[in-house]
Amino acid sequence: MTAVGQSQGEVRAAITTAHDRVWASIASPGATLPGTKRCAIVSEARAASICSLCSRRKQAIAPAQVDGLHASPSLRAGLLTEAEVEIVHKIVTDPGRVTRTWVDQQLAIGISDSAYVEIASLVCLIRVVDTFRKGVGLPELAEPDPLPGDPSGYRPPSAADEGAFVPMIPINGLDEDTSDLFNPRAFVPNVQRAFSLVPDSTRLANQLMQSHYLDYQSVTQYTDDDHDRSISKAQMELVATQVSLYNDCFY
Amino acid sequence: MVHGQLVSDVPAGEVITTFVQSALGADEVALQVARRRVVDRLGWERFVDLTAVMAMFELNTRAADAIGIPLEAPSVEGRNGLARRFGFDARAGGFAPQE
Repeated sequence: MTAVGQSQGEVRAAITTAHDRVWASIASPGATLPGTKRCAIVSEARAASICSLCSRRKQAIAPAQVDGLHASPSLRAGLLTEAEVEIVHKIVTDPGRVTRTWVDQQLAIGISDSAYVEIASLVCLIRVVDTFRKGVGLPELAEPDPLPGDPSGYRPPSAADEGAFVPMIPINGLDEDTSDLFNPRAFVPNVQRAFSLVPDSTRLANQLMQSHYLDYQSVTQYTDDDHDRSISKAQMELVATQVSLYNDCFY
Repeated sequence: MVHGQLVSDVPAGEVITTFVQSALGADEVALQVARRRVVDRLGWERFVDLTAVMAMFELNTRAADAIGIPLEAPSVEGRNGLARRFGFDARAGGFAPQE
């Protein structure tokens, strides 16, 4: 267990370790983005929650018809492009209305499919850390300081169209560089493969799942005899359902 | 479902529901009250565990929708069948929204 300062108790070390790993990863160059852009996405994801344009679009029947400028610290500072800011804000504020058409529009502007996945995964990872800390009453972590270096440019050679908006690694498409991402001999939920175009994001998501909930391969068939969490399966599934409803998640 | 029988069947379901809604919202005072009620009712360890699940589904829901992953084949017919019964929007083939 790890003490967490202003909070009222302690947090399991596995949780804080996973958060530390996410934050350290954000600072480093990714597959397509340098550390500067990755770190800027932290502030951008937080700013999206109070963006008036996003608020108006969220209330609109047809969000694409609501014009305006995002309230964006990164755009003003020249750290992110308009397309990158649009992706961050949409996934934070209205993820349930992301469509293939909208994703294709971002790709047509010049965002690569790998960059789209990297940005989307960073938003998701940041939301885990920020939501947990807000929930237990801890202050937000400071935006990390970017580390120098170039993006790796790594792209899994087996990534293919699997019916999603962007390519994923097929269940039988792992190689020696990606063999740790999931177990193809067990049930692999598609959400575990969602970020597999950027394998490091899948690795971080896997660690967060194991420390916050259960590993991906257990979630469809676990019972209260299969986990050591202090709350019941019914309570965990109630929470999961509520978040899904709140975010209007189709999956 | 959340405000109906299911919630009352889950131990502490009402305080959990209020906490999650508050944590995902913007009312800091409501969150403080809801947090206190959960801790008082369930204790700190359980509170941390349910907060962790809540945080994780902020990733899972957004990952699914941002990437547009299809439903797994075994889930498609069951989910769509249930959706049709309740008049929800079924997804032919289990694919995410295209337009």
